[in-house]
Amino acid sequence: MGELVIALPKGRMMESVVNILKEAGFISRDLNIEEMSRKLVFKDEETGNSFLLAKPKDVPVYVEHGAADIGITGKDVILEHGKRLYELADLEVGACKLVVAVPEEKGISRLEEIPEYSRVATSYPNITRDFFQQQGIQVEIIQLYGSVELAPLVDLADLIVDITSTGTTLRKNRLIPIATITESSSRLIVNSVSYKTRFEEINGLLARLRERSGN
Amino acid sequence: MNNKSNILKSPTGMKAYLPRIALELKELEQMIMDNFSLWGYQPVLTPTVEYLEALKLGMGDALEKGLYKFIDYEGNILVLRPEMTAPIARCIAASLNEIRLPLRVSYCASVFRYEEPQAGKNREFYQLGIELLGAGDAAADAEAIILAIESLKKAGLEDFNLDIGHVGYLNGLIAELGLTEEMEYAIKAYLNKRDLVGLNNYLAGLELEGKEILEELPLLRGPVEVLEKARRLADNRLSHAALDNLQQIYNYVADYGFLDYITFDLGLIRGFDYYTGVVFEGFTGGLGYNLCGGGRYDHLLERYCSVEIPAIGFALGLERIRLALKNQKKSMRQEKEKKLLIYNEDDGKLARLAFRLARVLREKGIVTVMVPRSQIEEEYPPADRWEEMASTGRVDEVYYIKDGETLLIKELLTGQEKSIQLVGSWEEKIWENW
Repeated sequence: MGELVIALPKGRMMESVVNILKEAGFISRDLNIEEMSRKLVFKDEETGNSFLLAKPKDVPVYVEHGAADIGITGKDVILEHGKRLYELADLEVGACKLVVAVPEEKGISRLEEIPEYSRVATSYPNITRDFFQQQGIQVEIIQLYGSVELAPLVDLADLIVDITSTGTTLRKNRLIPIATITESSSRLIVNSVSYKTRFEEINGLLARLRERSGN
Repeated sequence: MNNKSNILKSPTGMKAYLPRIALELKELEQMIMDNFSLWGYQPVLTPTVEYLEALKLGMGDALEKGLYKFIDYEGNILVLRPEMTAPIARCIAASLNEIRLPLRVSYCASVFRYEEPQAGKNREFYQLGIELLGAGDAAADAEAIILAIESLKKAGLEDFNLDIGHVGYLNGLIAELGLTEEMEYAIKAYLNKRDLVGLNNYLAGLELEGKEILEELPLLRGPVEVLEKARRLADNRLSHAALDNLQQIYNYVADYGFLDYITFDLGLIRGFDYYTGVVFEGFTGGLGYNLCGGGRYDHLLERYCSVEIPAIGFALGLERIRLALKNQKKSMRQEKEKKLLIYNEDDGKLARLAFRLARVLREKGIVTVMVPRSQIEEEYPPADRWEEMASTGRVDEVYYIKDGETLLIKELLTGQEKSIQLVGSWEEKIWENW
């Protein structure tokens, strides 16, 4: 009866997330990650838990509607999704920052210097809109689904809002981060009803995750 | 504006229900309203629109974002009611000299919220609920909780649970720890969203003695033992009074035999700011949203009429109960016996006969639908074709007036047939022979 359905993020975060869940006894240790990532859905016979592999941006959708009881994805994605999800633990992997970055040659170093009606390319339109509204800066948002740093190079946008972990990609494209909107790392999110109907199992996982990170 | 494309659409987030689902909803409504009346609750009707200023007084600023607003010819801002508690409180406050307390009222009404349309969340939805006004004791709290459980049970749900919390417990802790208003607001917001990462990060940044209790709070959920654990954590009169109140409610619910349906959750925060005491929410597996919610609001009426009137109430989501029943594969409807009355069209004589016969059947409480013969493709279609041909749902018997003298009766389940001569006082004979 103790099985949970867990939505995992495909891609760069997946390996470290799977390792943490293995340590917490939620995935059996001998499961091969290469093998897992080739499937969309699989059941771990040893622990009884089921896993579905989704794009990080889709994980909140599966969890919100209860197709998965819990899920793991970045805080940046949760903020952008903006829906009612319970966020229970910080797995402290996949750390990155969501920043405002401007081409070097514009010579802008502070938010206040951004001209009105600048065009901002981003794949985080909601967070970007809220942020600039709070700052009282009117901007025009251009939504892209990837390679956002390309937009200023071809004059599609004046600046960008994107995630960065080491800053290498930004530097390579001569973009200077001038403000951090939020720090992000991977989080454990839970469907609001599953949190109640599966309280024991979910809190068991939570306790083991906290033990692991030592807080 | 492309108005033409809207012609066949319901406005976004609003639904039209055709008979199949509408009947299920109406019968659920009837069952639950009947149960409310067994407890002495009588229906009230309030306006669909309210003045914005009146609602705001009751509900605070929190909900204004999700309101449908418009302006009348005098320039007043009107809103479509987003819930029923504040409108009922306003109406009762306006007629205090006409009523006697305690007052038990019930409602079934559509409410409107401007939410992002998504599965399970409509902008117009139906709520059933009760308000018990003028009773402030634990027995009144238990009455509301037990009635909520019993109503869900009578609707046919088995696998559901009510989480019960208390606003006073957290408020006691907030006073005990000496939190500022800003901290209180932030902490309640994190708890409401169950953002434990946000809560812990926020608490980590506070210089505050005893803040560990607040980290524990979301974990204070479970059977009655949780109340003891909570008691050890808190050291103030308000929190302890809240726990005493919950313990009393527990005793009443236990006596009623409904312990299987309740869980205590001291981290439970409900959205509306008018709650002052016990609060509760109901949910069921397989449905990602609450089935019901409610709580005690002892100062809401005071905002309208400066008289303190303790009160408690709850609302059930009618459509959500139907979805939950569907998910649990429970059948919702017990259909009445239904007969189809077919008549040949000639000079209208047989149609007149059909009206007379239908009257006899309906007087006995039998659903009777009249269908001219020309609407039926074949004279004797197979049993399962009748329903779709006549589009009336299930059919039990077919009465066929073939000519002015003979009535053919066919029972569809057994295939049994008989005929009655339509002579003399045939109205009585129909029942004699059956």
